[in-house]
Amino acid sequence: MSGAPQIRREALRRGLLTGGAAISAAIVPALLRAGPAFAQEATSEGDPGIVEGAIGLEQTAVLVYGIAVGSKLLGPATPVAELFRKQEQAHADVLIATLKDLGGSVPAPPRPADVAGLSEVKTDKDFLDFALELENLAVATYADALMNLQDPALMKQMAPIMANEGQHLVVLRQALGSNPVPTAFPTGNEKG
Amino acid sequence: MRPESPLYNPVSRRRLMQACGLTIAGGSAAFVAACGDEDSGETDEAGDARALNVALAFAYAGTSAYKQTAALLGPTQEIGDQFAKQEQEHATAIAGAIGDLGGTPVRPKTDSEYAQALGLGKLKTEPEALAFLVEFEQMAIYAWLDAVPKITNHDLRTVAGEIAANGAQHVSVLVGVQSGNDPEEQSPQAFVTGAKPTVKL
Repeated sequence: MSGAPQIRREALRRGLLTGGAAISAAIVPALLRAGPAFAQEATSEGDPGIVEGAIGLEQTAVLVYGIAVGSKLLGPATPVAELFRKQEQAHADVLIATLKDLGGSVPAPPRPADVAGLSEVKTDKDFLDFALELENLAVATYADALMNLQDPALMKQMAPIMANEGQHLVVLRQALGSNPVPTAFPTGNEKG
Repeated sequence: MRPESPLYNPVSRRRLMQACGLTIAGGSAAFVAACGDEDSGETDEAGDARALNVALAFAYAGTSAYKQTAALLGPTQEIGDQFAKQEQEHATAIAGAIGDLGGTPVRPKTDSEYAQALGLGKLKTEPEALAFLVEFEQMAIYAWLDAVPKITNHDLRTVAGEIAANGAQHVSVLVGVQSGNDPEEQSPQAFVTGAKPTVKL
């Protein structure tokens, strides 16, 4: 599996694209346009490709939370972004080590300009909404990874990460005042 | 299988599987035909049923535990009610799936049997109930995560991962009640592993 189809599938999961449509900047929301930035690097097939795609997503999350920390946008809630940044980095570090063991090439981390829409985040609510979408994308990505991985060892590695992203969603939803656990089966397809 | 088939897209396929499992309590012959066809050459249906049955026992027990501790939860009873329903959703879906795999889902015990097995009678206060529920959820998470790599059916493996994630979310909420929604407590580790079960269900 290459990265780009996986990203398109995430967009499809959200009903944001019509079947068979190519990724288009005009119709894909800002955050999802971050996808091709790392998808371009995800050239491996099979398990290495899946790991590579997950690394790209984790690197994006590290970047986004890092920017939130640096900007103090969240005020007293800044430690939350720092906590999540460290945890996303821990995910990335483990996955990078795995990818190297698999003989894959580690994708270059994205730059802020690669994450379309990030520059438009101006308020704490903007950031929380942005982070919520990112975490939902992460859950969706790991759910699809569990479906497509061949190596049970990689499944054991990714399922605990998916669960942690689910916990991030709880914290973010509580900060936004919404139901923290809206579904019994978190697929990343939840609205909010 | 034609590319335009709804079963061709793995996301759509899983959606269909969930729809089968959630809406047809007790199982459906159409489940395997419609939802598990891609995996038929590589799957071990008996092994999948065994792995799912171990975790299913926790979904049944969780449903009962939340119901039986509801009175102790006081202002957080609404949370307990919601989580009891979600545990029941897990149980209904997985029991149906096991039946569709040709297996026999474990049967739920009675509330009094769960009270005995889980020591629910010892719980007297809200903090005690919350602490118990957190401990129980950690064991359930472990059970679901343990099942994930053992399940050969791709769709069911994904659902097991989602249930583990849901359990982790329950823990975050329960710990949040205990800690005043302290994120350091709600998401203490980057890798959620749960805790090895210490109860026999």
